[in-house]
Amino acid sequence: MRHPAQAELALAAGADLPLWERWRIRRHLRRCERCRVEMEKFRGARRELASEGARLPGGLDWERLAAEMRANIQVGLEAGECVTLVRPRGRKLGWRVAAALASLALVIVSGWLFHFPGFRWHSVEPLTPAVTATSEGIEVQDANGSLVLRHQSEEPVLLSVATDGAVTASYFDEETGMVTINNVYVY
Amino acid sequence: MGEALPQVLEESAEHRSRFIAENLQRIFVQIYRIVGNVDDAQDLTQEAFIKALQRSGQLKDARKAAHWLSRIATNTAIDFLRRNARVNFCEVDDLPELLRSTEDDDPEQLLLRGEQREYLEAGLAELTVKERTALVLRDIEGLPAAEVAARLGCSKATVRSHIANARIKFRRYLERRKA
Repeated sequence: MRHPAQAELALAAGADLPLWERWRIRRHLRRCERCRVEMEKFRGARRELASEGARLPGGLDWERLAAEMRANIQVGLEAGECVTLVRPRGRKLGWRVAAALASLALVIVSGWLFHFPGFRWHSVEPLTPAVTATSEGIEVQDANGSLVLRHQSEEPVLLSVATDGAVTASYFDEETGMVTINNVYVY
Repeated sequence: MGEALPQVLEESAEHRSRFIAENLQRIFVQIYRIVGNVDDAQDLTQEAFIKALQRSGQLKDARKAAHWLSRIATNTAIDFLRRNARVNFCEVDDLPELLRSTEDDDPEQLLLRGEQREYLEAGLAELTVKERTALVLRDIEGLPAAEVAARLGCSKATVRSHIANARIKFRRYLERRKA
């Protein structure tokens, strides 16, 4: 008679064999006293393990350990809550915070620039000559001074400005019947 | 616990405390049997509860809370063993290892050690990490072999091999102890 291996009996004790092998072992056990005893020993060991396995290890101060674990779990949960509260806020409001900070920085820098004692806006003197037509005449200005070409008539003067910087003043002299045209060019 | 357990776990500190109190010892023992020492079991139990309570919203059926917590606990312990003990649960130990004879296997010394420690722990300590984990999940937790294989991430045949080796070793330990 061929006896099953120990491993097969060990598995059969917990019904862990495939169906066909389970049937084969069961059939063998009906005829073999020695294997039945072996099988019963495996079952006994299994029962003992199941009943003792759920008990606390010996020499353990469970109350103290349980209190410590409860407290640590509580701390862990609270720490986790803090992290989860902070994280979404950071993700959702990140760009808003950045925009607000950028605006604030701009305001502070602008305020500092305008109110800083050494910082003043100055009117900039023209570096090139400028020509201006007034009721008195045509005035040319530059950094060193100005020159006015006065109109020679009290009559209304016709003024025109060209895009190349020239100003023309035309007027009619009633006494002489002549038309005078003054052209002033600026380069 | 009521039907709306996941929600109350998130919202009520009182329910959370009760949930912890009701399951703490069971989960601690379960993890302790897998990792084999109190300090690691304490850390992993805390970790398992924190994970479970932070994810309680994922639990759809309140009646499965205990089973769900057990699964988180065993996965936490198995991950720990993979990380720290570098255990590959899918490698099968050779049978001759079961029959090795060393000084430590002397029945008198085993008996002496067994008297000093709780006998069950001494018996489980004789197993390899893979064998112990498979045996605890199958014979103490009562999970089917297919579920044990799923949790350890290996085939059913490999798990059967671990379980068979573990049962043979543990039975021999009990026989020596009783002799």
